[in-house]
Amino acid sequence: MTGLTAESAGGRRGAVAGLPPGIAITDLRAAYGRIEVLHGVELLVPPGSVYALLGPNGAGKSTLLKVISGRLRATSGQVVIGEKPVGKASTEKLARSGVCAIPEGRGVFPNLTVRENLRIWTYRGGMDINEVEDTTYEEFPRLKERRRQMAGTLSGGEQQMLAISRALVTHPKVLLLDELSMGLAPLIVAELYDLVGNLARKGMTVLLVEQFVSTALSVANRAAIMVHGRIEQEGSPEEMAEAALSVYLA
Amino acid sequence: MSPVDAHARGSAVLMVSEVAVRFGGVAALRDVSLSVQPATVTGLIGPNGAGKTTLFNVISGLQAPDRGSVHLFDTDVTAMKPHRRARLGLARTFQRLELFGSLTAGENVQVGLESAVKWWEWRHLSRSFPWKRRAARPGDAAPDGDGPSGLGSVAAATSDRLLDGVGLEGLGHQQASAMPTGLARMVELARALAIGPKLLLLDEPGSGLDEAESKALGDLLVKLAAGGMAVLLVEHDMELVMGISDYIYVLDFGDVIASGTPEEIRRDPMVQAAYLGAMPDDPGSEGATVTEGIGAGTGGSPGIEPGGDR
Amino acid sequence: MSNFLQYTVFGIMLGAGYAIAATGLVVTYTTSGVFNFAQGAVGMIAAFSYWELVTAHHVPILVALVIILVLGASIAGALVERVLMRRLHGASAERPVMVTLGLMVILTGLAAIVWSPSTQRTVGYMINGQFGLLGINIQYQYVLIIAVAIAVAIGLRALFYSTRPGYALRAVVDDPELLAMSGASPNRMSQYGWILGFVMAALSGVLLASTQTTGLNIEAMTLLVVSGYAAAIVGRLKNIPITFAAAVGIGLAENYIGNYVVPHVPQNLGLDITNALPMVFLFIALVTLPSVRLRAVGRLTTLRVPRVASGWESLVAGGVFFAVAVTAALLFGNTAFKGTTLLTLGGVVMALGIVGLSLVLVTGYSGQVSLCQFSFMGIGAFVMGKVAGGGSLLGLLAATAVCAGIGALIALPTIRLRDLYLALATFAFADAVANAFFTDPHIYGSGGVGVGRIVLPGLSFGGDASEFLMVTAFFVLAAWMVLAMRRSLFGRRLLAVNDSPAAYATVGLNIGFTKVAVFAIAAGMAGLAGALYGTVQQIVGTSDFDVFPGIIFVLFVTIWSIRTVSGAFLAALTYVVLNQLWPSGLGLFAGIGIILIGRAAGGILGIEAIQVHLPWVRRRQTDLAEIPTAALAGAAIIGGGTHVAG
Ligand SMILES: Nc1ncnc2c1ncn2[C@@H]1O[C@H](COP(=O)(O)OP(=O)(O)OP(=O)(O)O)[C@@H](O)[C@H]1O
Ligand SMILES: [Mg+2]
Repeated sequence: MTGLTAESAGGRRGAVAGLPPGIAITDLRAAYGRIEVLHGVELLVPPGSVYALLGPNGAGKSTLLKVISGRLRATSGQVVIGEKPVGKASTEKLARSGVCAIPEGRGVFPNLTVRENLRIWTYRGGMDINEVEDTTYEEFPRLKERRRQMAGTLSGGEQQMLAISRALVTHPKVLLLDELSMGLAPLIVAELYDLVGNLARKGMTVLLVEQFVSTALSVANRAAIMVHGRIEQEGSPEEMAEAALSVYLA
Repeated sequence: MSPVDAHARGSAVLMVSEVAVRFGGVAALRDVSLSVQPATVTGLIGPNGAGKTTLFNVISGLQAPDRGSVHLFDTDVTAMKPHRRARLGLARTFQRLELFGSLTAGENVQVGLESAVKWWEWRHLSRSFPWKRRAARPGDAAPDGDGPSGLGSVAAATSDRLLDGVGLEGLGHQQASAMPTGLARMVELARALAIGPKLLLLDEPGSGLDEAESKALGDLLVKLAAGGMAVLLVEHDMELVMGISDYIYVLDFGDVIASGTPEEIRRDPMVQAAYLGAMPDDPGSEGATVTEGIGAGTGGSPGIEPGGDR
Repeated sequence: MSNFLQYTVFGIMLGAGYAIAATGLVVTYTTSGVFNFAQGAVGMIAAFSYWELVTAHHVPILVALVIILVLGASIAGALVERVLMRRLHGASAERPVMVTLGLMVILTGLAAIVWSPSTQRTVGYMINGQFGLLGINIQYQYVLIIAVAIAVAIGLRALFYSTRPGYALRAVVDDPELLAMSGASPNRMSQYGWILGFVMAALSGVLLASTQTTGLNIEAMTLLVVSGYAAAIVGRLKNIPITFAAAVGIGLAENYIGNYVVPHVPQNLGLDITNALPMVFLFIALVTLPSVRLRAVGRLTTLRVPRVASGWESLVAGGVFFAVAVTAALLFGNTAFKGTTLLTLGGVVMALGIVGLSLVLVTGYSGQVSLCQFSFMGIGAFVMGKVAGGGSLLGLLAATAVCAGIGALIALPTIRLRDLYLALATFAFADAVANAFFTDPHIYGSGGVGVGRIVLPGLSFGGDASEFLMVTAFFVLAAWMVLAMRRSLFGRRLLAVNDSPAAYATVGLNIGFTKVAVFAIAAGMAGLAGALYGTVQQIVGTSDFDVFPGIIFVLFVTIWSIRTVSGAFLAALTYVVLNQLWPSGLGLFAGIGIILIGRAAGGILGIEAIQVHLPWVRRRQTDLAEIPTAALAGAAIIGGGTHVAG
C-alpha cells in the first residue's frame, strides 16, 4: 500500500509532531497525452506554511496541483506528503486523508443546491450539517440567501465562494488552491486571503497558485516562480516580488 | 439626476431602461437603466451576484426581462432572438468560456466572420468544389472579397489577422478545446470581433489572464474603442477597469448604485463600502490616495494591485 | 359505468407498471447522464427468466424474485457499469446512447436464442384472487403493482433528495473528479446508480409480464417501455413524482382510447392507432415541454476531429471508387449468390451506404442521434412505388422531398430541447412507423410495394449491371456532397452548434434553423436511398424497415466510424454481407462490436495504428505550453471594421 493514511498525513508519525504535513516534490514529470507539461519539478513546501506558486499562463502550475491531488498521474518523479509518497493513491483516498484541492473555475456540482453541495463536501466527515452551514454562511452571507438554489445558476463569484467553503468546513491538513481570486470582487478576495492566512496559522499547509502576484505574496511566507514546467526561482516573498517583475515583463 | 440622464446624451448604442429580472424570490435586477455611447469603453462593476452577467444575458437575448426594455442602435430589441441581435452588430463573450471546442481556433473565428452568409446559396456551396477553391493558407494576402470564390480565402486570411490581433499568431490551426484558458479567452474575443460588432459585451475577459496578458488586453480594448466600437466591460480586475473605462456603472443587489468617471467611482464612499473595500481608518475622506487596502499599490487603485511595485 | 371503472383500474395498474419502468430510466439518467435504451430489454429478460423459473421450473415466487432482482439484475447492473460504461468517460456525447442500444440488441438476440419465439409463454399472477369494490372485481395483482410503484416512487425520491448518498449519486454525473476530491468514490456511486436502474427495469418486467395475456413476446416486451418514455420526458428525466403521475395518466389514456375510440375507427384508415399511441404521447410530451433556456454552460469537447479530405482528394477517390465498381460489374456480371445476385447485393450496399452517409451528416457532424433513418427509407420506397408507377425519376425527387418534410416535422418540436429528446422522438417514430404503418396490409399490401426500374428516354436501368452502376453513381455523388458540406461553412456550423449553442446564437446564427435543416437533409437522403433500394429490389417488403435493423445499422456505422464517409460505406458492406451469411446473428455482431469499440471516437477507422498517413498531409501540432505567453504584449491591433462581405 503506497496510499497515504490518515495518520501519516496528520504527521503524528512525522518528524515534527503537531505540525501539518509538508509537501516534497522531486524531479516530477507529467504529460497530457504526448505533450509533456512538467519537465522535472523540484519543490519543497514546509509544513504549516503558505506557499505561493507564481508564473505566467501555461507554465504548468495547475497541472502540478492536479498531480499532487491525484487527478493526474506523474510520468516520473515523486510527490511526498508528510512522510509517505503519494504514489498511486486515488483522488478520493487523498481527499479523505486531508488533502483538499479547490480546482480552477469549476468547484461545485451545478445540479445540486447550495445546501446539498455543502452536505457532499462533508460526505465522509460525519460532521454536523447545521454547523457546516453556519460556518459557511457566516463567512459568505450571500450563500445563505441562495441555499436552496441550484449551484449551476449561481453567479460566477457565488460559485467560487461555494467552492472555497469546502476548505473551510472540511478542516483539511493540506490545502491546494488554484486561482482563488478568479471572478471574485476585490473586497471578497481580500477577506479570503485573510482567511487563508488564519487557516494556515491554525495548522494547515497551503499551496496556492495565483495570477495576482502582490495579493498572493501578501499572505505567503514562501514563494516560487514557475516557467515552462520548471521551478525557475524560489525564495522569500520579497525576493520573489522582484523576480516576478522580470519574469512577466520578459 | 439619474445616471441615464447624465450619460444618455447623443445617440447611445445601447439603452437599457428599467429592466427587472426575478429568479423565484430573488431580484437579480431591479429597474436597471444604463446607456453606452459609441467609441467608448464603459465599465460595469459590482460585487459578486450583483446581476452583471444577468444584465448581459438580457442585453444579448439569452434572458427575457420581466419588465423594461432594451434598445440597440435605436431599435427596440426587447423581444428579439439572440441571433437577430447579433446581426444588428452586438457581440459578446462569456464569463465561463464558450468556444466551439471541436473546431480549430481559426475556424472558431471563421464561423463568426461568415455568420451573415447564407449557406444554402449556391455560390457558397460551390466554393467547396475543388476547381473553385483558392488555397486559403495562413500568410496569403487577402484577395478582393467580392467574388464568391474569394470569400473562403478572405475569411481565412481575415481570421488569421484577427488572431494575430489578439496575440495568437500562428495558432489558427490549434483545436480550440486543447488551448489553455488564457489563450482560449483570446480566441473567444477574436470570434466576437469577427462579426464586426458595433457593441461588444465582455464578461470578465481578464480572468485567467496573467499580468502581461491583461495589460495587452487593456491596450487592445482602448484601440478598439478609438476605432469607433463601443465596449461594455464587466471585470473584477480594478487595475484594468479603472485604467481604460471612460465611464463606469456600479451594480449592487440588482441596483445601479453609482455611475461616473473612474475618478468619481473610486472616491464614492458607497462603492468603496459595497465593492472596493473602504479605507479602514478614514472612509470617505476627499482625495485621499488609497494605499491601505489589501494588496493596494501606489496607483490609487484600492483593489488588487498586480505587479510587485511595492 | 362498471365498464368505465374496470378500464380505470386496469389503466392505473398499467400506468403503475410504466411508472416503475420510467422511474428506472430517470434513476439511470440522474446517476449517469445516460438514457438507457436497454431498459426495456432488461425488463424483457427479467420477464422471461421469471417465466423460466416460476412457470417452467416451479420455483417459489419469492425465491425467483430474489434470484432475478437481487442477484441477476444487480450483478448485471454492476457489470454493465464496470465493463461498458466506465470506459466511456470522455467519449463523444452520442456514444453512451449507442452502447445501450448495443446492449439492447445483444439482449434481444440472446433471448431469441434461449427462448425460441415459437413457444407460447404466459405468466400467471403472483397473487391470485380478487376482491369486489364498487361493483367491479379488482385483482390482487393489480393492487400489488400499484403499491410497488408508489413505494418505489416515494422511496427513490427520498433517497435522492434527502440523504447524503443520494446527493452523491446525483453529483457523480455533474463532475466525478470533484466528487472524488470530496472524498467519495465516483466509480462506486455510478455503479450503485446502474444497479438501481437495472433492478427497476427487472421489477417492471416481472410485474408487467402477467399483463401480457397473449403470451410473452421478445420485441413487444422490449418496446413496452416506450410508453414509459413519454412519462420520463414529462418528468424531464429527473422529477420522479411527476414521472409517476404522467405514467399513470398514459396508462389510463391507453386504456380508454383502446376501449372507447379504437373500436369506432374504420379499419382501413391505414394506421393502427393502438400501436402508434406511444409515439403520439411522446410527441405530445415533447411539444408541451417548456423550452430549455439557452444557457452558457462552459463545457468543452476534447475530442479529436478527423481530417476532412480536400476537394481534389474526394474527387479522385470518388472516381477510383466508381471505376472499381464498373470493373466489379463487368467481372461478376450475374454471379448468383444465396438466391440473389452479387450485383443486386451490391446495389443494396450502395443504397444503404447513402443511409450511412445521412448518419454521418446528422450524427457524425452535428451530434444529433437519429434512430429512424430506416423508417425514412421505407417511406421513400413507398413514395417511389406510388409515384408514376415506381419507375420514374420523379419518384426519386418525391421520395426525397416527402422524407425531408417529415424529417423537419420530427425535428421541429425537439430542437428547443436537448439533443437526447430528438433521439427519443426518432426512436418512437421508428417504432410507430414499423408497427402501425408498414405492417398495415391496407398500406403496404400483403406482399409489399412494387417498385420498378427507372427508365429514362434512351436509357434503361432494367439490367442488373446498369442498375448497380446507377445506384453506385448516386452513392458517390452523395458522399461527395456530404464531404463538400463538411468543408463548407455549413460543416463548420454543424460542429459549432453542437459544441456551444449559446455562443452559436450570439455570433448571429440560428440554432433551430441549422438543426432542422441538417435533420431534414439527412431524412431526404435516407428517403432517396429507400427509393433507390426499391429500384434495386423491385419489391419492398413490410419488415425491411423495422426498428431493430435500423438500430443495428446505426451501430455498424458507429463501429466503423460515424465521422467519415468510408465508415458509412464499410458499415453498409458489413451489414449486407453479415445479413446474407447469418441474419439472426446480426444484432449480436453489432452489439458486441460497439462494446469493443468503446469510446474510441473515430470507430475502427479512427484507430491510429491502422490509419494510412497520406504523404502530402502535414501534421501540425504545437506544444502550447511552449508558446511565449507574453506574445500578447506585442499584439498587433485590429481596427473596428472587420466585416467580411456576406
Ligand atoms: N437561473 C437562475 N436562477 C436563480 N437565480 C439566478 C439565476 N441566474 C442568476 N441568479 C442569481 O441572480 C443573481 C445575479 O447573478 P449574476 O450572474 O448576474 O451576477 P454577477 O453580477 O454576474 O456576479 P459575478 O461577478 O459573481 O459573476 C445571483 O445572486 C444569482 O444567484
Ligand atoms: Mg457574472
